[in-house]
Amino acid sequence: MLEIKNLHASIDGKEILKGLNLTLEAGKVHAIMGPNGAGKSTLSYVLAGRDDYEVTQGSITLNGVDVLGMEPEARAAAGLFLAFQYPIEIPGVQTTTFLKTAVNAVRKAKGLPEMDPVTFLKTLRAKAAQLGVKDEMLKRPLNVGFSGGEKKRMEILQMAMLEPAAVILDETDSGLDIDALKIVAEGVNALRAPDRTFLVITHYQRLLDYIVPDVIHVLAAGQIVKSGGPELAKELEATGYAGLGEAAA
Amino acid sequence: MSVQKPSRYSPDTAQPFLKQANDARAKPWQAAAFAQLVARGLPTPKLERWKYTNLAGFAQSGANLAKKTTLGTNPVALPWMFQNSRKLVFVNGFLALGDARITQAGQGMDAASDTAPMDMFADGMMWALNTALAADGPQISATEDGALFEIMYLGQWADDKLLASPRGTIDVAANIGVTIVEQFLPVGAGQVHTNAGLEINVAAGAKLTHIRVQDEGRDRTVISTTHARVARDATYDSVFLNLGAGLSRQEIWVELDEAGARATINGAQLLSGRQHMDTTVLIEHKAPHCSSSQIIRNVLDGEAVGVFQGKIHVHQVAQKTDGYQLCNTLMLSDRAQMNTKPELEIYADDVKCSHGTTTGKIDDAPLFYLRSRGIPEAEARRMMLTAFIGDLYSDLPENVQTALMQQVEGWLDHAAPKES
Repeated sequence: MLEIKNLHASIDGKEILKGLNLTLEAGKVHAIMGPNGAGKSTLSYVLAGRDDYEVTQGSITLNGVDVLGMEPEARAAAGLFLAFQYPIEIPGVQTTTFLKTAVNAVRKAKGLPEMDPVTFLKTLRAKAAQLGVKDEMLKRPLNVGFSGGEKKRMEILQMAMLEPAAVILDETDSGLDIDALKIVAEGVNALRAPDRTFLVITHYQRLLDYIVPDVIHVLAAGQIVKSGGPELAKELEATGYAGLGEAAA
Repeated sequence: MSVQKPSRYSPDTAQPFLKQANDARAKPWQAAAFAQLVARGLPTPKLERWKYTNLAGFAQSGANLAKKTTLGTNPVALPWMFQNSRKLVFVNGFLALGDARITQAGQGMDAASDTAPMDMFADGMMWALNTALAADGPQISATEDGALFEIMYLGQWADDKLLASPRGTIDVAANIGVTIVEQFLPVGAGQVHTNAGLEINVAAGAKLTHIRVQDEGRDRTVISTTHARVARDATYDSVFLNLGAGLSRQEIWVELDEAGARATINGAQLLSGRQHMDTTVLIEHKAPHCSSSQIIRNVLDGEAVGVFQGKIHVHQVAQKTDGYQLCNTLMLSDRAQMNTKPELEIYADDVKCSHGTTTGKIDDAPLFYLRSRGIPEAEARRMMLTAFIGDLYSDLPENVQTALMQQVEGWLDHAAPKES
């Protein structure tokens, strides 16, 4: 369970999150929708521990453990995973090498032995195949020259390899055509599990047709202003965010 | 010949070396270099191309000219990159081990001296010093396709400060592919300085891959000048990894003489402590339809000072030139300093030339990305540094890549990437 309480966060002295409360139960998929500038990406970065954001108040706990004081790598080891809106290209770092380093770093942090290379490659190939990630892509430098769809699939593959407890998908639908969106959504759905929670951050309802959430929250002006069932997405699609933004102001 | 203001040179500086050169060494073809050095001396930082690198300490080092000596180390233990290469070992500039078929010390030197650049490179005085003092060096004439040559230059300390002046010539016959590896390594501590010269001719349709590793001792000065002439449709690929010496300057001067000639320079400079390291490149496009690319990567730690000067000179006849230059530097310390000077000098009107330079710390965004996947910060930084350099060598044979990256890893072990 991921619990966010009264979270205030700012960047360059400007407060973006203004007392955000959210409880994500294991086994559930929560979605956050909201207008541009509501603080959606800030929330994802604050959760993952990017240090250009300053948390001024509040708490974030994962299964009862405080994660706010942790470095990003410790958060990953604790089970947090952020699928980036814009995955970073890293020239010179082979995708397979990166995945192996990440998997073993997380295992090490958990006190587990390194995965033996044969098992690792077998696991990687199987999971890559499910997501339509070709062998050739795994040999290339991480995300370098990948299409938008390939980058998002690579994010899901990383998630599948790291088996996190809490997953934040930051605008995973951005830049994807409908076929790529379906593949990514299938990848996410395949990872839904009783001990795993998902937070799907999106601007559009479209993604939620494929990753059907249990709960939808509306984020506006740094706070959750409304929560409801999947039907809320349709409602927002019809009415827009305008009224809700004002409610929060 | 342009008249230089005296202050750009220091007339006395070459004297300590010249007065030691005995008559036997001063062959007729060395006389011109002698005369020029007597009149002019070594360059000072007032000379534009020596703006960032000061040779005063080297000139005052009191080093004696090295003499022929025996190899004091086990040649098998040297870090050769290939098993099946022809191997040459020079100790303090003199042949100590090698194959006579390709090494005819003394012969061929006259040919090399004919092309001494003197004023052409503006700072040709170190070449002149090498010309004046050289008595030995690799003389390689490659005629077989796929030939592999490896040259070790070992600076071996005895009981004296020394200056080694190896002078080499490499001729690559037409339409063959050849690889040459040069490594500058120390044997023991102590001041054994090097001022090397290497003359390269790549004949039509041939390709030379020239790999150079400079990992000399930190108490030493290593100057080297490589002059390559590239003929029609021939390729000169220079790959280097410089991580040694206290003071070093590597000059690479490439003349693309005929249409279709091509040169690539891919090199890294890794510096720490108080090292001073300079790479100065001049590519002359002297014929149409030639291309050149320079990619230089630097990593600086401690109080090190790095220099990269790269010039693309496009002569008027050199239409359809494609020239490219990129210099990226990562600073691991606030006290280190990088001096970068790109230059384009273009006299043709139908050319494509570009250059770029970046200097900064390791990017936060990729670092955060790696860390968010559980990779600890120190390891993530190291991955990025390794990738930054490894990217340069990705087209080389795997054993060469492995050898170079082992050196890089070794450097990173010592200049551990810390939180900056």
